[in-house]
Amino acid sequence: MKCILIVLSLLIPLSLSVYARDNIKIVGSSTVYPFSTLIAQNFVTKNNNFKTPIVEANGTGGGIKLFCQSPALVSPDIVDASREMTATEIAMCNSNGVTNITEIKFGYDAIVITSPKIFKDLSLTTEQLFLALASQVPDSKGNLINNPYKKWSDISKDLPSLPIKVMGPPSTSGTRDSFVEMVLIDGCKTFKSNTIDCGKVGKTIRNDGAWVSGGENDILMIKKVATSNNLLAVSGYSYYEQNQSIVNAVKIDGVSPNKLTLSNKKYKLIRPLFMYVKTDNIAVVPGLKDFMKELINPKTISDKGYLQKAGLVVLDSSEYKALVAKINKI
Amino acid sequence: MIKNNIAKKRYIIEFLFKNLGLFSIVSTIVILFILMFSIFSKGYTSFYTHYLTLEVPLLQHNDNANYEEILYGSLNAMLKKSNIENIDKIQTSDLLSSISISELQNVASTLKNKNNAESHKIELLVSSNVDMVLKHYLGAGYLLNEETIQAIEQLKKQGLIQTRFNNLFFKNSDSRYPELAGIKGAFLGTLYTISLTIIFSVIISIGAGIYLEEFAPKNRLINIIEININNLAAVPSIVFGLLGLTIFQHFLGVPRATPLLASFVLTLMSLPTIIIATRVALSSVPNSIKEAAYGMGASKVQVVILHLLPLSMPSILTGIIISISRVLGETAPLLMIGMVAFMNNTPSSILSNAVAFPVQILLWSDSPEIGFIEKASAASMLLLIFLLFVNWLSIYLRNKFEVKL
Repeated sequence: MKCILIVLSLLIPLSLSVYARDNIKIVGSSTVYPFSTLIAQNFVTKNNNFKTPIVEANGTGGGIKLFCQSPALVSPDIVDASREMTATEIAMCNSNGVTNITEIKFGYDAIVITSPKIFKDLSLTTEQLFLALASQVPDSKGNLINNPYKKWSDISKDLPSLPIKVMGPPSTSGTRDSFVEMVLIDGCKTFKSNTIDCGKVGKTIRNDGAWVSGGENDILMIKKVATSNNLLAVSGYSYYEQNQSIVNAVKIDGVSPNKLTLSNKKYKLIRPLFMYVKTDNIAVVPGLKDFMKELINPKTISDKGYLQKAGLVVLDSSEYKALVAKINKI
Repeated sequence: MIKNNIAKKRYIIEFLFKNLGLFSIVSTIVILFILMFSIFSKGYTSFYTHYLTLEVPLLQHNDNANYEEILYGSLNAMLKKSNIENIDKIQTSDLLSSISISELQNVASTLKNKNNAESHKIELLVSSNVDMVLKHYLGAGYLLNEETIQAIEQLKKQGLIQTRFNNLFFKNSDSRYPELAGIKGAFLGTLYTISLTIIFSVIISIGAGIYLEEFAPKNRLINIIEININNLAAVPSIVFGLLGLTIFQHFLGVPRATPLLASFVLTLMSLPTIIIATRVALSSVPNSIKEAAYGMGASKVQVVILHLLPLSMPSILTGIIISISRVLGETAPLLMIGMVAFMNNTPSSILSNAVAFPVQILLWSDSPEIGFIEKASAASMLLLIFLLFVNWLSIYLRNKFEVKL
């Protein structure tokens, strides 16, 4: 009896491990998640013979880790990223045997700082945001000091006299990386000081309670903003667009985010969105090629496509043509 | 005089004690009621939806037909016919659900042999945004403009938009379009997972409980095992997810995000509770019964199977059901094994990818579209109802199997 049990318990896993994958696996950014799931759904509606792709949202950093784990089928085919893959990540991929990666830039997303409805027409500059959120800021003489600002009005007299409290995604999030890059490092650079290393100073967000880490859940952050009276939050544009009735967007350098300012790129905080595909898997995983075709379909990512309706800022026509050419070449 | 004082004190303490209990009961009920109210008041709207009656020209089925043109042509014609102002400002492409065109195609293919009518009336599902306007979740100027919202209200008044029971919510699996999203996939995923979990955990933990209580020698090893089982009951659930990821998925190769893998993880989670319940139940059977059976010459196995187990069954069942209803609402361990993901397929077996019910609620409450708020609440409602049913079942079974000694 014991022998049979032992043999059985060994056989079951063995028989399971030969199980091959017949659906596409996507992991990565929670900002790209609404878009890649939309593509996934439309892909299946059009191609009934393929199984639905599985899309997980575990952050750009977390997704890339899974993606780069191995070239085998246990690891995902596509990673959604709300920032470019870094050199160290590519090196990690290569050392694990994942060498043939196609980068797809499929559109842009705006980072929006949402505020409660009671803040009307609040406008901030990247410099003010840097002063509010960096752990160390330059004083009047240009020397670095620990951040002394407690209220927005301490930074500039035009701003409301309310405590600084900004909620944002955790460090595994690509949105956080882009926010640091586009807002804090950019804001730091406005000081034009030779003694300050902006790459380092801008990256260190203060940890005395002014910055609150909100987790990979944009909706929860927006709900918290809506019910508070001084909380701001950093989130993706699509989440703000769907919830405009409960939160406002902070103007950045006087420009508020909307369809127009995003498409003509007047709104400053725009970053490209990517998907990285294992090129070798296209021949192995059923449907991956058709998924790529669905992605470059003009009804998907062009002007008036369904991704635009969901809040994506579309590529301009030359970028789009280049993307189509790149994918058709594979 | 002194005696009187002591008595008074005792009465006061008794009064306070009694009312403190009453207060806690009442406050629990109030909190529960608030929770229920917030879920139900947001969720009930999910059970109905709206359809737009559209008159479309006779559909000739051929592969070249441009159904998009037909759809928007007849939509514009209908808006004109209903005397709606500012038609050019209405967001016509946002009125109907994303499946309308393929729906039209289906109608066309079934109608191709009936050529006797000139036009045909069909009912098409409205988009989630329109549905939200009609359910008063969405005001003007955000996703739909003023003119569109006025048009929707006009159409509703004229009876062209009708309210129907939302059977899609039960027929469909997850979708990125709130108007099409349903719970079938999540329901089946949970059904497979929980059935497997019950089978595995009942067999293993009743066996373990009986061995530890009746057969195990009293030595140090058994003591250590006992302490560990009791400890296991207090381990945070995400740890079981990590275990599932490394042992079951990576080492044994069980496919990721399947009910089978989930049931392994959840079995581990439910084991300690059921083992403890089994042991308590067995030890509460009066010794006299055991001794009488031995006295009649019964063997140890006979005593356990014929006497101890039937008598302790009601308590064991309670343990099982408590543990299963806890596992039913679990999402944290499933996160680690890839079950928190978008899947709009309906799982067909224990080896197909599936989501579980609580995960579906989590995913919907996480989505940007406002149409998912009511879906998440409605799914919570169904989960609560299901839990209520499970708890009722536990009481029913306990009463049924109870043997009066």
